[in-house]
Amino acid sequence: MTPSPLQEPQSSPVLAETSAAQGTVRIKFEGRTVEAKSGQTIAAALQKTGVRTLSRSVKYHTPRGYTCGFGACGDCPLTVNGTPGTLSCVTPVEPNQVIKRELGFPTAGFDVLRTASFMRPWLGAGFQFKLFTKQPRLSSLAGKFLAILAGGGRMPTPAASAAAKVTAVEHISPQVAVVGAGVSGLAAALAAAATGVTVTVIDRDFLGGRSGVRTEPVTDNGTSVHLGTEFLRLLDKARRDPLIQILPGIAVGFIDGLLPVVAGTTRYEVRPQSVIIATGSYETPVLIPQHDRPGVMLGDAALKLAEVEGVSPGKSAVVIEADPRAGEIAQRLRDAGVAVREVCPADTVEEIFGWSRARGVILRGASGQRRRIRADLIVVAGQRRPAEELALHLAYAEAGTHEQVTSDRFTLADSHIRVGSAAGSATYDLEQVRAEAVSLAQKLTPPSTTK
Amino acid sequence: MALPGVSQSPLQKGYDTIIIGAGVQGLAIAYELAKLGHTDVLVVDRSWPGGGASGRNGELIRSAFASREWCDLFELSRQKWLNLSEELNYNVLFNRTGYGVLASTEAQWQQIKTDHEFQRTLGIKTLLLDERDARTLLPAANPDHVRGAVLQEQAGFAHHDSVVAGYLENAARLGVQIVSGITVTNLLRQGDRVTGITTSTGDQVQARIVVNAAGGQAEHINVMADLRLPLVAARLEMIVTQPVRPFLKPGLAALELMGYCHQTGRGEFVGGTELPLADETESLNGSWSLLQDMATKFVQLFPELAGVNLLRHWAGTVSQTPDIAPYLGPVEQVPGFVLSIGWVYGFMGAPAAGELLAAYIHHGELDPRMTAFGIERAATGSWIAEGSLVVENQHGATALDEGDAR
Repeated sequence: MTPSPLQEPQSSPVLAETSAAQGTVRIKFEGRTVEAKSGQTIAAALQKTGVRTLSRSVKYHTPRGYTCGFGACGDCPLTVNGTPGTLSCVTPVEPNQVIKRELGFPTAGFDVLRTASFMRPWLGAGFQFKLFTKQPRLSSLAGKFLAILAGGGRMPTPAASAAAKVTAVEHISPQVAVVGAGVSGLAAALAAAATGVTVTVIDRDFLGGRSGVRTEPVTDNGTSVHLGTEFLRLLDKARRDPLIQILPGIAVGFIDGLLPVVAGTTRYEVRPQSVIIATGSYETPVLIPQHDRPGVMLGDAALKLAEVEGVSPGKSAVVIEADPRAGEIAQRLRDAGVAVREVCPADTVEEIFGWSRARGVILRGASGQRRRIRADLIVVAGQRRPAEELALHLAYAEAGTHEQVTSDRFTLADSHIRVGSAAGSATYDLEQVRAEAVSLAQKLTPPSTTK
Repeated sequence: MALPGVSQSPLQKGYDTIIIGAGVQGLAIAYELAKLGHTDVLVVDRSWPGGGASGRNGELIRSAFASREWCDLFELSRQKWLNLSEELNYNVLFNRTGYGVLASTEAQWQQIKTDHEFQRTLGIKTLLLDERDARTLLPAANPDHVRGAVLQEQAGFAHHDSVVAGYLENAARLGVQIVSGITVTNLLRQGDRVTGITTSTGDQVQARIVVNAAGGQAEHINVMADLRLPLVAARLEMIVTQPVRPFLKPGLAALELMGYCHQTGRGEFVGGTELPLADETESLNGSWSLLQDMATKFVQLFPELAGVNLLRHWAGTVSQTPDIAPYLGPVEQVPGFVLSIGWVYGFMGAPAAGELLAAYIHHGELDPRMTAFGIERAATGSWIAEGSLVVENQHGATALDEGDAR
């Protein structure tokens, strides 16, 4: 791995203002020291040093790298301080962190098991059910071999196991729990609190989620707002609101009327009367051969690196258009110093090429002629999809079972609402969000004396 | 897209045999019938094959129990498991990792010593492991929980989806018609006799024999035959972790935890625990109390698991009998109606039950290993006293619970 001399754009206000202290943090990555900026995520720090392969696919051991930027895709888990499966794109650097990659023999960076990809014709879906049916010994041997590979050697170190144990449980019963502190979540929380109800806002890191990178217009009473700036303003206001409790942690779901939130070694058992779901949205990838190569990123991820983390996502880029946002994404990448070679419709992209990382795309024109474009960054502008897992959990609870609840057809109880892009459309008006939160809050019973 | 083996053809006017439920039970019966050349068979399922408890279980396989009835039936099953991949030409990934029952206290140690002695008298080979050997078998276990173990070496676990798929494809290949997404709305009757089914597609389909293998829905089908048998719904929950390095070789039942677990070939740790009383709700939602119970107990047993992420947490329902043993075989008062219901250890028992029920349906053979599980015991009250199960059963005999293969 040689560090690549990437251009570094100006750090964005979001990172600058939310990081606790400015300065440099030293982390240890597979035996060498890497310098990162305080407040940066691990994956961004590694991108800066030129590390592109973060993990390997389980079956063919093809390399995978920074892809979604928001902890949704599973391509970036690393072992951090002995804890496996840590999502490096949303975990901030901390001094003296010890970081290593998983899944790879001898290492994830250089993996001889990649040869499995040469056997692709014999390893079709379900191949394991057809192999060795008459050779139980071979089947058992193969099973043992695969088990060692599958686990990837992952296991928390004793110190990490000890550190992971919850040592304190706090019970809180706010009238409203807001899950997700992006612009819509904070706007809803402030509006609900203004009616006099108690609100707990839960978010992994209070860094604004996708608010800082989205391209879709969000308006306030018809006037368009700058999401990054609006996020900081609303967060500051929420922090100073006596009825709002800021709870950094991960809401693991909604189960038996409870929102368990894991915050380090403390578990909060949050029992709200109402839940405002502001979990935001995902970008969906586009299925193109080799779309999982390092260097292929979704739009939000590329913009996050460039605008929030202050790390260049690549020198030259091709933007694959599967959503109208592509043009805006391309423009913002150009503004960040990336040479955007072309914006091409997804159906013209035949494949992405490059062995250990993306080197470009092959396009096929209407008349069948093929054209190669070289680029070290392939940005996929995919369609948005609401992050609806928590909403589904609430719907299961309402229905009593999940048998009849499907993602395209479910209803929430009157006491819960979805706001912002979690409600379906990434283009929304904040006045509408506030109105819904107020209407929800007004239905609640008066504040309980216990909080 | 339908699964390979699922028929898109219209239903015929009649079949010799109709099997209600395309879970592992129904499909094993269908396959065994087809193997006997008995292919005029319809398997009908309201959802998809393996969509109920067959896809929601702990996959464990053993035959070392504590009663003759259980040992006999499950030993036949285990023998069939050993060769099932070859027979079906479908690798069901049966892992002969062994199945251990772990004793943590002196009383449990005495109990498993008695079980071991009993198993020996039946010719079921198990090893009694003292404290030291048990710790060697389970190097990752907290030594405080290890007093001793009984290990059945030629046992383990298989891949549940592949078992369903293997039976399904083979039954279909041999000529059985399997349909999914069709609900049985009623049974056709002539006097007491069951003569067919009516379906949600509006069909009336005649049959000489109708088999109730409807899993969690079994009681609804019984009611259509005016058959009232003691059955109680029970809900079970399990968790699955992210893949980790291999640390647990055998399938394991831990008496102290009322839990059972194994580590899959993909490295995932899969386990479930039980609370003392059956949860009779039918919801498939997971519950917080059991999630906590499972996470806490398995971290107690395997301290390294602290800090490992959970991938999934699920609930499944079974319909269990007062002695937790299935009802197998014909129903004297309802001619034409055959049962394979009330299963809690159904995954591991399916190969045997399939063979014995097929033998009955095809040439009327009543194998004692099957008739031991007949419904007569509901009338006489002579329930099977199986002392090595993990549930508090209804007629009061609180068993030392051994974990199971749910």
